[in-house]
Amino acid sequence: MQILKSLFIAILSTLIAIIIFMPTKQLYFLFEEELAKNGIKLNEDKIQSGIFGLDIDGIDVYVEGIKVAHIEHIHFTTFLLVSDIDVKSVVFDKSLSKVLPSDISEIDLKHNIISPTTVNIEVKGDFGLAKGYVGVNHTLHLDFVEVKDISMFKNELQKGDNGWYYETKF
Amino acid sequence: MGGIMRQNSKKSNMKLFLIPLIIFVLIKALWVVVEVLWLPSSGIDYIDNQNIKPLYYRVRVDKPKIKKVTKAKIKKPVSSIKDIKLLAIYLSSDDVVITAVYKGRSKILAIGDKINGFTLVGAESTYAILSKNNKNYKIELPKSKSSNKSTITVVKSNQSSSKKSINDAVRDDGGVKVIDKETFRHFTTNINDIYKNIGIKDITVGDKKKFKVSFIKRDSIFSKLGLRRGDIIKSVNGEEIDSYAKAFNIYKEATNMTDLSLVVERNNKEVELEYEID
Repeated sequence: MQILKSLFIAILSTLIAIIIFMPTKQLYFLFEEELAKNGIKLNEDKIQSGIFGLDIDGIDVYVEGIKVAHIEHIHFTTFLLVSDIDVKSVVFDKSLSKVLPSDISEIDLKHNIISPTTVNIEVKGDFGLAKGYVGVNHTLHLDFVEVKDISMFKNELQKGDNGWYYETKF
Repeated sequence: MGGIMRQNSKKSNMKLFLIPLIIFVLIKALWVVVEVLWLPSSGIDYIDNQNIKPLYYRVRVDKPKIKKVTKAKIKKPVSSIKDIKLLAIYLSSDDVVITAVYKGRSKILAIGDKINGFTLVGAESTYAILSKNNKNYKIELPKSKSSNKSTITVVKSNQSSSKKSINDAVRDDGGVKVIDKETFRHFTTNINDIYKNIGIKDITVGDKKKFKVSFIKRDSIFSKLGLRRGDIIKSVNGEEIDSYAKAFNIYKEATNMTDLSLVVERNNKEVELEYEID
């Protein structure tokens, strides 16, 4: 019994220690390095690491040197078994207004250990509401469950039994 | 007896306190090692160091002599390609792909790919243009699902309604090519319409990028402008185009342009193309 108790405390302590001592800021910089290899650079106003995550404010997104979007706030949370990324207010450059929605109010990405190969996504914006996932084989699937204005990217969507959906491999 | 039990209990509690403490110290130390050895200490920011020059405008003090750009002869197709059927067309901003069937076997073709000796040179939403022995052929998608035959039509070079509008969009005014302002603005705000008419591929040379015209839709405004397949766009209004950022910045500024000057590399020679926007 005593051994079991010690083992439980050891496992719990390990998990807590990994989470609270995780160098979130440096891991984010590593993520930035990986993005930069693909021509994507992020300029942030403020990065603040907390006990269970990271808050980033005022992010300008550059693709191949072109400013394509501004993100007001990103919040990363991780408990190792469950992770969550909340993105607030994404405004794309006006020049992309013919191909992308001009304003995305919220993006929520969730990952849990039960389905380790899938990241669930929920996106709200002036186009409505889309729910989907990034799955194995680098597949992105989004179902447009509430549709408002999708005229700008309707050509990219497909019509299924449950309405419009977008699917791509990357 | 009681004293021994109390002592054991104290030892046990101490152990339960020490285990997490040791683990916390070990993991903190481990993270520090990871941080020092493998993780970057700062992020990567985009630094705008392009030093973009103001747009270049030509001032004419006498009647300008525009370098003549010889028009590519539009070859009229003279025969059909009945054995090839068009099944599907995929058009994106940087690629054109079609699926065609020849002798019961389907083949996916990109620009420049061949099927039965015919080379794919371009495509639109409903048809594809193939070339063989310097002759062009147009094959269309079947109009209805019941019909599995693609329609094959001869490309006519000089009497369509769109041709008339293109003539209005680009006119010759005393040796100067003038682009209609409304048409120009339409293209500066509808990037998709540009890619429907002209394909531009990037080529990386060292750190710099070059932008090569991969196809031009026949009878489009871009063919009327004098651009040709294979041209490498070197500069626009005096600004060298060697990155996506520069190309995109010029595209964003294009709405306010009143003159347009392109320098393209054609057959290892520089050719200057100049236009007024009115």
